[in-house]
Amino acid sequence: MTDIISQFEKDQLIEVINIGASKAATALATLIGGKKVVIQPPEAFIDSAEKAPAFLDHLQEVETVVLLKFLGDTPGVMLLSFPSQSALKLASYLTQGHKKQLPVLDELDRSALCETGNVLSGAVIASLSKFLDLNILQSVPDTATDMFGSIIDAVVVELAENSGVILAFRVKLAIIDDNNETVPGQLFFMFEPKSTDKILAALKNKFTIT
Amino acid sequence: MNMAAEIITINMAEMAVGSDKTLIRTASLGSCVAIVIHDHKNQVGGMAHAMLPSRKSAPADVVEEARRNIKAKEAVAKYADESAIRLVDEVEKIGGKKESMRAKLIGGSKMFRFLSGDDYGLGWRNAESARKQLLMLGIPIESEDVGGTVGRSAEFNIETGLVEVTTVI
Repeated sequence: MTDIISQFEKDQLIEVINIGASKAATALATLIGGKKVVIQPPEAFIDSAEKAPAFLDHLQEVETVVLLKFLGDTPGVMLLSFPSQSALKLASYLTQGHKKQLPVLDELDRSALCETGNVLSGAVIASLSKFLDLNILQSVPDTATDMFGSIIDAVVVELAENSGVILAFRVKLAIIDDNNETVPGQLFFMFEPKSTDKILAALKNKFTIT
Repeated sequence: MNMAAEIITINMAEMAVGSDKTLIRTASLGSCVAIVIHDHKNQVGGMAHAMLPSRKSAPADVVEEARRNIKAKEAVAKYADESAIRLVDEVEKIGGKKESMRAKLIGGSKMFRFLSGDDYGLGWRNAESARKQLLMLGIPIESEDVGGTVGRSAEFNIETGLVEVTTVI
């Protein structure tokens, strides 16, 4: 379904997501005490909602996902997803000195991860709403740990209820800590066409010289 | 024995039918609901992985809408109610009889608390829509594993009529 948006428009959206993701990565690096955070360029998926899971891999693996909704001019969702080991690692950076009996995420860890989602999406929204002159708000975050496919399923279906087509952007990221250990994760942004239309219109507004 | 078992994996909004020696698998059920139909007498059955409860609004021109959907290659099992009807049809085509059909429902969970807004959420509505449609078709629901906050995988063995549900946490 390449007729939904042109290649040029797709590139524009990827660039906008790249700005947001870079801000998020910077915020994450600051939050966890100056560790290195590297991100890859965003990948875009634009097709009917039911094909979205095929775009992703590791669907059977357990991941911990922080989910936030975007409200306002461009409704959509942001997902911050980490394999379960990565999530534990990230939580331990955030809750320094917190002793645990079992290597599973407890209430404090989940709260810390939610807060990470909050901080990251705050950075994304601040940069995008300033850049595009749009009014974007964020919901409270929530976490879930489960089969990655099931989580994606629930999120995609929620979007699919309003629109047959979804636009998903994935940014792979990795935290490199002081011992040179890599903690991989992913950042997702998903929108309905209605929202991306608004982003494109805002871009056009900004860069058209009259 | 399942020595020569054929394994069919279905994704979101797909369905499959088969006779004995067929295993139908679907992974990653979140708020989606898997409808399983089994005819124990004729040893046939099928599974559908439905995404949404029902079409949002009835289109003004049904024929036109259907034509558009076919043209757009719309997924066969997107809506729970429609896919229940379609699944029963397909199972009948390969030799099933409505009288001896039994249904099972898997999935329909609520992965995030605030996603749908209300108390029930989309998963619950998916399951409810499938239940309603199966009731109208006169097919009893044998068992259910729906709701909660867990993701599920399901594997349906048509020979035994058993569905194995896997969760990871």
